[in-house]
Amino acid sequence: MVTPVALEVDHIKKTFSDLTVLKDVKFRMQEGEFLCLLGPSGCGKSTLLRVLAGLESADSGKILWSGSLTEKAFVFQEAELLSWRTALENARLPLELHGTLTFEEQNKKALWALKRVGLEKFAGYFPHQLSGGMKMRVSIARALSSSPKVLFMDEPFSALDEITRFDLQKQLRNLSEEEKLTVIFVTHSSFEAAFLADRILLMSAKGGNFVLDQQIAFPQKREDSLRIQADYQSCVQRISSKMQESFV
Amino acid sequence: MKSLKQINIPAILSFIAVTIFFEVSVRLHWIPEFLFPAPSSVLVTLSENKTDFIHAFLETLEGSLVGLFFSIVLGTSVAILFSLSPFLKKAILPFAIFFQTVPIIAVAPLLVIYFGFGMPTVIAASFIVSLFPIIANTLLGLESVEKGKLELFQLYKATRWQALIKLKLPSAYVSMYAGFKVSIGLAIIGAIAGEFVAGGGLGSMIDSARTQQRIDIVFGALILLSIMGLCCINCLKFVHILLQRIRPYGLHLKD
Repeated sequence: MVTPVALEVDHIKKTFSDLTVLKDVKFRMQEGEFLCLLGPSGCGKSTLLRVLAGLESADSGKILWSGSLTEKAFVFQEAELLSWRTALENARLPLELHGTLTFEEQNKKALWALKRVGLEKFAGYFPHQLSGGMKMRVSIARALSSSPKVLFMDEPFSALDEITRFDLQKQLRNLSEEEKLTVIFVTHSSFEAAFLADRILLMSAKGGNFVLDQQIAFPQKREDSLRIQADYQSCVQRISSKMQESFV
Repeated sequence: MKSLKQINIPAILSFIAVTIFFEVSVRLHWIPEFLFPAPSSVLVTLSENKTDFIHAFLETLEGSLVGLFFSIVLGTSVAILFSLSPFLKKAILPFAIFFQTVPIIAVAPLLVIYFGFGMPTVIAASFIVSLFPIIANTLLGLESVEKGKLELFQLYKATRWQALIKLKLPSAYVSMYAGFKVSIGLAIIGAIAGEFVAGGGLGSMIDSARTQQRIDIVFGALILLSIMGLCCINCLKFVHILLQRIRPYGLHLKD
C-alpha cells in the first residue's frame, strides 16, 4: 500500500530584507510521517515551519497540502497559555474559537485531550499552579483538542529539564502514532530528532537548504531503552557530525 | 499573622511623628498659628462642623466617582476603538493628549458657562482630568499582547471580536488597573477644581474658608480629601484582590 502524500513543497524562497533565509527549499512528506527539521540556530528551520503553517508567507514557490489534511495545530516554543484560564479552558480554546460544538461537547473534547497528555486531574488548575513540563503538556492538549491531522512543533521542549524532556518526547512520539498525526517538528538537537523522527531533514547553517534527508528505521513505538542502544547513538553521531560539517 | 504584616507600621510611625512635630511646633510658637494650624485644632474644627464636612465630603466623592465612571466607560471604549482602527488612532490620539495637558483651573470657568453651577460642571472637570490615563494605559495593554498568543489566535482563525474579548482585554487588565489607580486621584483633583468655580463640596468649602483666613477649615478639608483618596484606592485594590481570587488576570501584580 502506498502512503498518500501529505505535503509537497516546491521551490520555496523567503528573504527578510537582504537576508535570504530559505532558498529553493523543496521536499515531499507522507501522511502520518514524523518529520524533524534539524539545524543549528538561525538556519531558517523555524521560518520554514512558520511558512508551512501559514504564519508567514513565502516570497515564491508552492506549498501543496493534501485535501484530507485540513485541521492543523501549532505548538510554540513557549507554552503560550492564557494565565486567566484553567488547563481545561486553555485546552478548550481552539474549539471555542471554531464555535461548531456545543459547550458540553467542547468541554468533553478538551478533557479528552487533557487525558491524552495525562493531566485530567489538573483540569481546574491555572497555569501558574503548573510546572513547566505540565504547561507544555497543556499546550499540546490544546493542540490536540481540535483533532488535528497535522501538528507543527517549534522546539517545544527546549526550555524543559532533561527528565521532563525525555518523558514528553516519548509521550509525543506515542501520541503521534496513536492519533496518526503528521508531525513537523523543529529542533536543534540531533538526540531529540533521532529519537522522535521517522525522517530527518537537516538544514545547513547558511543558505536554507537541506544537506541531509535521512530515514530513521527505529521501531514505531519508541521506548527509553532506545537512548542507550548502539545504533541510536551511532545514528545521532552521524547526523551530528553532518551538522557540524555544514556549520563550518 | 498575615493581617498584622499587612499593616504598614513605618507609615503609622512617621504619621504620628509628623503630627506630634507640628502640634509641638505650633504650641511652642515656632510656627505661627495663622500659617499652620495645630493638628488638634483641626480636629476640633472637624468635629464642630461635622455635618457640613460630611455633606461636603459626600458631594465631592459623588462628583469624583461619577466623573471617574464616565472616564472609565468612555476611555476604555475609545482605547478599544483605537486598537481596532489604526486610522482612528492616528487621527484622534494626538488630540486626546489635550486632556492630559489641559490646565483644569483655566478650563473650569468655561465649564461653568457650558454646564452651569453645581454638579454637572464638577463631574465634567473630574472627567476631563481623569480620562487620559485610562485611554493611554488601556491602549498600551491592548497593544502589548504577546506575539505568540496573537499568532495562536490567528492560527485558529479567530475573529477580531474573539481576539478582543478572549485575549486582548484580559491581557490588558494589568495596564488598565494601573490606569484606574492613577485616574482615581486625578478625578478627585478635577472635582475639587470644578467645585472651586461651580460651588459645592469640599472645593467650595476650601475656597470660602480661604477668603476668611480659616486655615483650620482648609486643613480639615485637605485631611478629608486624603482620606477620600486612600479609601478609593483601597476599594480598587480590594476589587482587584477579589478578582484575582476568581481569575488570575494580573498575577505578577502585587496589589
